[in-house]
Formats: sequence, C-alpha cells, structure tokens
Amino acid sequence: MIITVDPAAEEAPYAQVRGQVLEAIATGSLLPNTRLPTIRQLAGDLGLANNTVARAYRELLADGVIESRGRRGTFVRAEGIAVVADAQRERLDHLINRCMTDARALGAPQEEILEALRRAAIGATA
Amino acid sequence: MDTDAASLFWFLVPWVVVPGVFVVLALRSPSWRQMTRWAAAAQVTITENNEGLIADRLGRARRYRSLASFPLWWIPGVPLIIGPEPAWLTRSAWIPLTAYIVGSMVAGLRGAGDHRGVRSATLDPRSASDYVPANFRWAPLALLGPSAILLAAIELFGAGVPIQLRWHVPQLMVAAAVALAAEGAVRALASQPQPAAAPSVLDADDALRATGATAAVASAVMLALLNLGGLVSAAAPRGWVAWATMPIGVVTTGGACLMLWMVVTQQPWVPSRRRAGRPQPAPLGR
Repeated sequence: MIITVDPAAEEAPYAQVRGQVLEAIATGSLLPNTRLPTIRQLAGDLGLANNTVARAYRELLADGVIESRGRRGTFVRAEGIAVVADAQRERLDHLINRCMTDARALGAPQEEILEALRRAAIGATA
Repeated sequence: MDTDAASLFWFLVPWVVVPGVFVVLALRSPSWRQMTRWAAAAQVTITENNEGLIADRLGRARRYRSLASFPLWWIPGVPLIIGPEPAWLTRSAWIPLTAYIVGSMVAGLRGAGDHRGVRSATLDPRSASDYVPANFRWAPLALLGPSAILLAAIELFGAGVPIQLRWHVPQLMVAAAVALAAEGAVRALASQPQPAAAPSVLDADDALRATGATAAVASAVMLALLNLGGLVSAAAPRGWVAWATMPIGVVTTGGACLMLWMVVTQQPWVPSRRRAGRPQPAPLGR
C-alpha cells in the first residue's frame, strides 16, 4: 500500500496522510490488526516533519480507526473498517441532505429530485 | 632494524602494494558478473530501473572499506622491518581489519532517499529484523560474553597462565565497540528513509540494506570469534590443554573466515523478508 503526499496541494500534508489511511482501510488495502509504520519511518520516507505524521496518527487514533499497542507499535483497529464506514455514511448523509435542501430551494418536486439523483448516479457509474 | 632487500620486499608487497591494488580495483564500478552474482545471492532481479542503484551502492561499499583500511594495512607488516619489538605490532592485524569493517558500515549508512515534488511511501513497517535475523544480530555479544568471563577468570584464578592483558583487553574492548556499532548500524539502516519507487528499485534497496546489515553484523561476529579464539589459544599455549582446545580454535578461525568471506563478497545473510507479494520485474539481459 503506497500513499502519496503533494506538498503543493491545497490540503494540508497531515490531512492527505490521514485521508489516504482512511481510504486504505475503507477499501480493504489495510486489514484490521495490520501494523502501521512508525511516525519516524513514515515521516522520513515522505520527507515530512515528524509532527505532521504524528498529527495524522493522533487524529486517526481519536477517530478510533487505529490503536497504539505500546512498544509493539500502531495497528489498524479490528473495528476500524466499521468506524470508517460509519464516518463515510455520515458524510454521505450530510452531502445528500445539503443537496436536497438546495434542490428544494429551487422548488423542484420530490419525485423530480429523486429522478435527478438517480440520473446523476447512473451517469457517474456509466 | 632489519632493512635488507628481502625484508623490504616482504613488507612492501603484501602490506603496501597488494592493498594498494585492491584500493585501485575498488575505485572501479562493479562488473556485470559481480552484480549478477550478488543479485543471485540476494534473490533480486536486475532491471533498467535498479541497475544504477545496485552498481552505485555495491561500488560505494567497496570504495569506503578499501579507502578506510588502506592507510593502516602497513602496520602489521612493520615487524618484518624492525623486528618483533614492540610486541603489540606482531598482533596488530585487527587494526586495519577494524578500519575495513567500519568503512563497510559507514558505506551502508549513506544514501538516503531523494525528496522532491510529490512524495510517496509504503505503509509497510520496517524493522532491523527484516534485514538480519535477530539471533545473528545478538551473536557478537553472545560470543564476547564468554571471552570476557574467560579473561576475568584467567586474571583472577589463572596465576600460571601466560596471558598478556595489555593485548587482550584492548582487543576485547574494540570487539565490543564494533558489536555495539554494528547493532546501531543495523538499526540505522532499517530506519533510513525509503521513498516509494518501482517495485524492482524497492527490492534492490531492501536487498542492499540486507547486505549492508549483514556486513556490519558479520564484521562484529568475526572480531568476536577472533577474540575468543585468540584468548583460548593464549590461555592454553601447549600440552594436552592446547590439544583439547584445538577444536575451539578451528571453529573460531573457520567461522571468522566465513564471516570475512561474507563481508568481502557482499552477501546478504538472508534475502530481505520485506519483498513478499511484490510483483516480479522482468530481468535485464546482457
């Protein structure tokens, strides 16, 4: 599993690391109980400051996606994938709610909004 | 002082000219045959992507160790010119040998990854045990323990044993220092940055780290074995005790030769364990 950080990107490097670890867990690239590299190793490999990677790990710990097992290192939690799925569902609900609010503000009927969503979903997968 | 032509010849040829030739040879890049021999031992496929890295790192190790030891190789040959006094000079081969292995360790520690533009890294953790088995890493200290105990026992209880502490104590301390340095070098090798690259480059990098780590630990084991063997032979110089301890001498000398062979030929103790599951690249034909 390879992660990439672009220092010139708008998103902060720690957020890029965090986002890619979450994505790896969600897609099954990082399985539960997989050991993650140490903060020093990952920071060295990516050419980032230790604090940057430490912040990403701290947030992942706070999210309940990874856990520290003392000297043995940092591991993906067994419940990590469920936590990521819950977070994704929550984010999706938030996006759809915002979309629905905007669509209702246009005065479109419920059926038309659903039909538009269906068309968008089909268009996205096509 | 014995400065006749024969003594000068036996001083200059083995202790100055031959090391000099090795230094000159070490300044050249490794040949394709040497690289393929290393690749076969390390179970690495040489490709267009990793060929330069392998040639660079193998060549650097040879250069560093040869250049570090060359200025000191003449020291053990000095007794041929000036005679057997001072006595420590007759047992000074470990001085250039130590420089040789320290040079080898330093070469392994150089060469961190390049960070420019978009940066990539794998999420696979690395540890020293990925490059050298843990039991091999602890072998130097396990061998130095009995040496230290034997030395202390001879000093305390062996009144009639003709042993020179002023020779053996510094050698033991150097061997212990090299053992600690080797452990530090292996850990430093494992923690050096490794930006993600093509699978064949990562394979080669891991195998080169394993080779460097093996050289460091093998050097420490070699010095520890020589130390133990020298101590045992000095403690039992003649009589039935000398015959009884001969197998120890054979084992320690044979083991030291094996370790030196591993360092000189740049063989990894085991192929790196970090490469399981990576796709196999197509080999580069010559």
